[in-house]
Amino acid sequence: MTIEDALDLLRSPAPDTVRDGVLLGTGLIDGFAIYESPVGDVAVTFGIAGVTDVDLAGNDPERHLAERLGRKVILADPPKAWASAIPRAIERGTPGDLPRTSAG
Amino acid sequence: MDDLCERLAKDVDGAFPDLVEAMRHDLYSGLRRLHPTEAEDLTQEALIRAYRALKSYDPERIQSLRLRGWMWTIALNLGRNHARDRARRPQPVALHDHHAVHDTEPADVAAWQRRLETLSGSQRKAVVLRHVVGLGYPEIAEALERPEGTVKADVHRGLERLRSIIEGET
Repeated sequence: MTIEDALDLLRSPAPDTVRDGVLLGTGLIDGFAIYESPVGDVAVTFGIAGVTDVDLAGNDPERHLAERLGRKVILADPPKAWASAIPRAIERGTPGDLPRTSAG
Repeated sequence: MDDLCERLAKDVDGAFPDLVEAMRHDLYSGLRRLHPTEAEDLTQEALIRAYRALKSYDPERIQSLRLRGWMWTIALNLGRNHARDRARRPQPVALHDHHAVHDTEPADVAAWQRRLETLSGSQRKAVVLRHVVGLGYPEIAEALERPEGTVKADVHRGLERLRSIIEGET
């Protein structure tokens, strides 16, 4: 094997998390996370600017949210800057200081 | 890739996921050899910066881009700035070997990584872009912002160095 062939074998596929992270980071798709609430598990959907939607999680939240919102959503961690405000808002029952987009 | 610039010029949001698919494996493969522990973050950040740049460009400018060279210019600048920023700030003591990422790779891949790390920075970038990523010399020259002849010489000298290392190992 030549050196050139050996170097060519060093190619490695990027993990899918790279694609998902880019699409989340550009706001082209939304993320969602599941939280416990007094009425059961809720799915909180968010983009880079804030929360876009809150709904009961159900059995298949990814499909349910995609159908309801009309765009792809993936399971993700919300931005660290305001992630801790989500459980506080759920506990209070009001958004408070939680950033929301116009859809949220 | 051929019509991607045209589609990006018409609709950045609609065509950008295709750019991500077209570039993510190339970027990750190369950055993994140049910045082993940060390749995933740098790949993501390079693509996000590309998106922001495309959103600020007019359609004519997007259509005139040579996408692969342009993307690699962004990625290499990010890698350089990242290394500089890292050198300026305190770092926690590593509890494990700082080359631990190599341990998760097959032994032959880790051996090639060590060999590549013996090359000078310019040789390593040129060899990785040419023979791991598969860029042509004009694209490498654009990405490295160096004359094509210089890039060819760096690739040639880098391969010679690798050849002599391997001969020394046997």
